[in-house]
Amino acid sequence: MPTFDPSSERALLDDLRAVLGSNKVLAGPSARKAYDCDAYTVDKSEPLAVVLPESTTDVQTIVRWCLAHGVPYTPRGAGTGLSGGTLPALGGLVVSTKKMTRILEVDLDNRCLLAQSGAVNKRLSEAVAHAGLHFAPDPSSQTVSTLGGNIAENSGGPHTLKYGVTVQHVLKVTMVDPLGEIVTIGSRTENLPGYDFLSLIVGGEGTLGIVTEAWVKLTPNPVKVETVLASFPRVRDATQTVADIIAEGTIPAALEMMDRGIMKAVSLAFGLKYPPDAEALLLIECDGAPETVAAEMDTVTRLCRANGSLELNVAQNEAERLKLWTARKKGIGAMGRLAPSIVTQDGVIPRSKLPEMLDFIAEVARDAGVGIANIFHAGDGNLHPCFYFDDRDPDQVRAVVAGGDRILQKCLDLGGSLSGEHGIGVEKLDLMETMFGKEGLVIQADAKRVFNESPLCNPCKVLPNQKSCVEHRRRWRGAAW
Amino acid sequence: MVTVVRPTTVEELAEVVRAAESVDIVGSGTKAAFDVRPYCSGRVHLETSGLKGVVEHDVSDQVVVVRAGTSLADLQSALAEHGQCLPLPRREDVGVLAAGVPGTVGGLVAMGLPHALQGVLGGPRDWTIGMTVVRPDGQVARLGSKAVKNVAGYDVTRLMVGARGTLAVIGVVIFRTYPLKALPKPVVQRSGEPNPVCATIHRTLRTDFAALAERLAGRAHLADPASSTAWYEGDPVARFAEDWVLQSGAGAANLEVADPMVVGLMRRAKRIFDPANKFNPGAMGVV
Repeated sequence: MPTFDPSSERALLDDLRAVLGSNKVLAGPSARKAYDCDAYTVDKSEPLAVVLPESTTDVQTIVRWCLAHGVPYTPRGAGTGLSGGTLPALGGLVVSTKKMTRILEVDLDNRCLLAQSGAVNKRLSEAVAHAGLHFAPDPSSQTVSTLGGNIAENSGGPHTLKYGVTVQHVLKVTMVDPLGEIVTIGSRTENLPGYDFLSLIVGGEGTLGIVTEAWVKLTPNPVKVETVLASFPRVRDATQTVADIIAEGTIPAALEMMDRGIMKAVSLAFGLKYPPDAEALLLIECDGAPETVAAEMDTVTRLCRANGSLELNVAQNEAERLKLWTARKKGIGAMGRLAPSIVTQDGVIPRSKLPEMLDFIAEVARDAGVGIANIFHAGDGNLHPCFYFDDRDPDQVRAVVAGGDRILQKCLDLGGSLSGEHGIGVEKLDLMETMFGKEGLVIQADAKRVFNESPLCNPCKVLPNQKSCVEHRRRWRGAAW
Repeated sequence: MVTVVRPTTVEELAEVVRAAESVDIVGSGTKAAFDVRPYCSGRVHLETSGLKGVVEHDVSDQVVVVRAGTSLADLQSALAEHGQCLPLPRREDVGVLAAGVPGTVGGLVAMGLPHALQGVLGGPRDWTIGMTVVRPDGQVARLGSKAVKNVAGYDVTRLMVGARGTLAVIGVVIFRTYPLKALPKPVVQRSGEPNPVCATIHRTLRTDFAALAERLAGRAHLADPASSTAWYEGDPVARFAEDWVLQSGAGAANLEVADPMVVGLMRRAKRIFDPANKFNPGAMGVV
């Protein structure tokens, strides 16, 4: 295989433009800078160029061109990823799905649709809203993040507690594999016999090929939705309520928690008021048949009261419901009011360990001397501690990275996971062996090899110590350090 | 000459696997009719019945860690003591076939057969959140975790579900459990009791399901509209676009994978995971 020689950049770019059309190639300094990272900004690396395919065959042309010239390539959706999955780690091409946004076929009778991978999550639901259907995964980024990105990261969202994460909603994908072949995997009928490759591709972080089109499942909108926002005087009272609701056998559609840091931020940003002595909020949504919803809401409010809730605010209409959701949906954005920089962590613990874990997070914040606010999917134990700090101060950046590692290590100690929905990317490579052990990484590397033995397709992600990635890593970090 | 072994721990299992040339993995044998192989071809008959018992049940987290040889009935009654279950239908309600042909925990996961509550509550692939597996060289690998939501690394756990023991031997399984009191009754249309040893499981698109039911008129069958699945006696009726079937008692026809590209990938996966074809040789048909 030819190797990529940076000195031949110009000739390469000319060749690429000739093959793909110059309107599909961006190679100026501003484009390179704009695509040097995703929403995980600690590591940065500029690509040679950004390409904008419009179809599966365009993607195939690009991959084949990369193979012929030994150029690495990294797929990218909207760039909202939080673990560096779209970082062009070894340079080369960023393959952006920005121009692949079409919904190709809607099959309402079979409750599924086919879209290109650059289609925005929210648009899928909007396209079928008239038929009372929606695409269930609802990451907070859903107004911009793409189907392809959701597939790569196996995205979650508040309502995945009840409805399942992306892997449970993807039926069939078309992708260009690392050999440049177009492969279709899955079926519009679920659970096709044979090895389940679809579950490797969904959540494969774009390292097993570039997904260009996907058939996804559509879910009927619930007949009835009830939402309550409960405030508590202590964080432990809220986490105990979560544990009690789950133990009771109730599965709300969403069960989200926010602490004082978030309340402060959204109060500043949106003028929302919460009881002055509230330390934690729980946002709980139940949906389904009216009688089920009523019964679940009874259970939920009873358990909130039993754990000493200060105030229970039940939405009386859709406008009120959306208002209750403001703190959850816009909480992280509002944190810009607290400090110039934010890093959102993503770890998972068994739900009963929430009280212990939140105490630990508070301790980490004190030790690190930075602020941490918590806003997360409490129902499935998926934490999102948000550090707020000033990234112009290298000491604070180091403290944040070290604090994040401590939190993740604690998640593992409690039997949990390094990531519930953001992925490993480049961010969490160092902790993979701690979570899975050597043997656990060997079997994952084998799974990757089924699709990808190429050092060119989205290198340096998910699995640590890949060839030629270690020395480059110092360079990416150098960008932030 | 076939040797029968019955390991009682994962360490013993690993030792047996390392030493063996080829292994047939046998749970309680309930799904033997679904086996593709006309006869078992391995040198070592690996019975999982000694590898049993619940390792850990985190009641408040609704997570259970259980050894693969445990019978499903035993697991369900252990979970029921705490008001929990795996959300499978009861055989009294839907018969053996549509209850997923219950046997051992390992069999449930390795075969990944559908059941009559799958359309509402998902299947073993959705409930299995982690595993301990033994690889052909005796290496013991951990997959997944006890977290109910987890996207760390490649999801090899789901790959193992339905792989019929051809990629690794499952030693321990971690499930998320379901509240027993929330378990719905399956809504199935029932016309007689199909014989599980010569039956077809047929899943279609929703739009074809009514036509499938018509084609089944006069045959013993169960139909589950929620997952567009029918379980019926005898060979498959005429097929539909995008459908799939599994059969019992039909040898090589028990499992059909038609797409040549997928067959190629399956062979590649088998070569990577089990290069000497040690595990359940022939059980996946095409690999």
